[in-house]
Amino acid sequence: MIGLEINLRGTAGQTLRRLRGAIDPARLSPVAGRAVRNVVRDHLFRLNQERPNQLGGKRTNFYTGAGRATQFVMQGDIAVVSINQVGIRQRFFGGTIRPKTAKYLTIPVHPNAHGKRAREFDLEVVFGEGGKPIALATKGTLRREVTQTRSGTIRRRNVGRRGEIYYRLVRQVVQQPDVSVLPRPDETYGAAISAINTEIDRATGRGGQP
Amino acid sequence: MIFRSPLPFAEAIESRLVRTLLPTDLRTDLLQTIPAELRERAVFSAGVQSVETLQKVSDVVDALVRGEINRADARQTLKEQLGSLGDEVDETGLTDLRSDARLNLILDTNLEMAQGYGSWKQGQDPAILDQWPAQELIRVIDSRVPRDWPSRWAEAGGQFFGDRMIALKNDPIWLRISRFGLPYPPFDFNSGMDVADVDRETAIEAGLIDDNTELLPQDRDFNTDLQASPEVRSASLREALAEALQGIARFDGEGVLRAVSGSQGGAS
Repeated sequence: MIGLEINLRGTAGQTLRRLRGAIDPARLSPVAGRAVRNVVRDHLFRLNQERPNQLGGKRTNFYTGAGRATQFVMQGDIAVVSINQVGIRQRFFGGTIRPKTAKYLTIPVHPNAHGKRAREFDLEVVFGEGGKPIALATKGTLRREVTQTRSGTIRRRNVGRRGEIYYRLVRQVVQQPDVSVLPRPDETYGAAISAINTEIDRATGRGGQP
Repeated sequence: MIFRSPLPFAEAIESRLVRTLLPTDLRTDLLQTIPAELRERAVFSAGVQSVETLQKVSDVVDALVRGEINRADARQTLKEQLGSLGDEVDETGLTDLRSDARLNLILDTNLEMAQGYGSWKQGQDPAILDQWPAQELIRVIDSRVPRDWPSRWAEAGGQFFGDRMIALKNDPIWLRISRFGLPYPPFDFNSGMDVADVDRETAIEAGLIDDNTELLPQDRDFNTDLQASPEVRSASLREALAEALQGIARFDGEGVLRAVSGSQGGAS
């Protein structure tokens, strides 16, 4: 979740002061907010096409979800565009992620695990050197089958399959910030100013009666 | 300025607040016969008769709308409620409430309905409607087998501008293309479609309006509902449903909406 503030006092102050009285401020902030919301949504929808998940699993369409969760809120004459989706703030700002309650974070490494919680599977812990838990894997059914033919020949073969690693267990993850998950500031402010100018043109065209 | 604290999507939350739990044994076909304005005020899922399950669905969807949890968390919570965590089920089966496909469908549809209403409602602000009077039907999620939306648009009487499907925001085309009879997305289950604002200049170029046209904002009349208590809303919904579904379904002593014998369809 993340928010963008569009403060008209800063972005269009001079024009607004000149037109004060002729323009209803209550009409300007919503159009600025909607304009920025539109730019952010378009950007996130585009990212959804450009960034499939790296594991190749079933897509969760994270960025489209973020686009749909984008809206604006009026706070006085300030419009705040907010993306109400878990994960978008972390991608933008980056930072260290540590488990809140469990000992380990579960990092998906198998396509089937993408977008799913480990508890949704029936998995077992894989231990590494020193008995340290290092991964979660599907339960293996692999066993050695030994049979004897009529002629007395002993045959040995493996039956079943090995467990597959679904998640890596780590104490923490450090994620680099990625400012490209949001449009550039000049795009958002440009959209806000353009929308304000359009509204002013419309209002003055109506004889200052918005 | 960019900051870390999100703000509530008030209009989307409003659309959740007007909803009443509706346990039912009706399948999708019959649920479709419920008038849209009543479905818009109910939390239900085909064949789900447990109030506890519906309450949990409602709670996690509310949390999704507020941006407090993600879909995987929501699904895990529902699986805990259903006692099916770790169960091996056909994850693609839409009739099995425990499957990922069904749970994702419930979560996505409810979340998108709330967000769709929220965006639609914000778009009905007079200044916004004036600047962006039209919208375009766009694909935002690729599908392996996409539905033929251009045909659906054409059959519903929609106009094309090049290959773009554009109409005024308050044109009845949006109701006609919607499986749910609502003017906002989603327009069908797992559709992958959404809408994008179209500005006044483009709408004028497309001949949808002229420079002097002023559109009147629409409303879904949630304010009246929100002023009533949950008990009154629930009683009002049940009364309206009983009247609308005469001969098709009725409420039993437990408050479950049941299909009248012989009226049940076959779909999930």
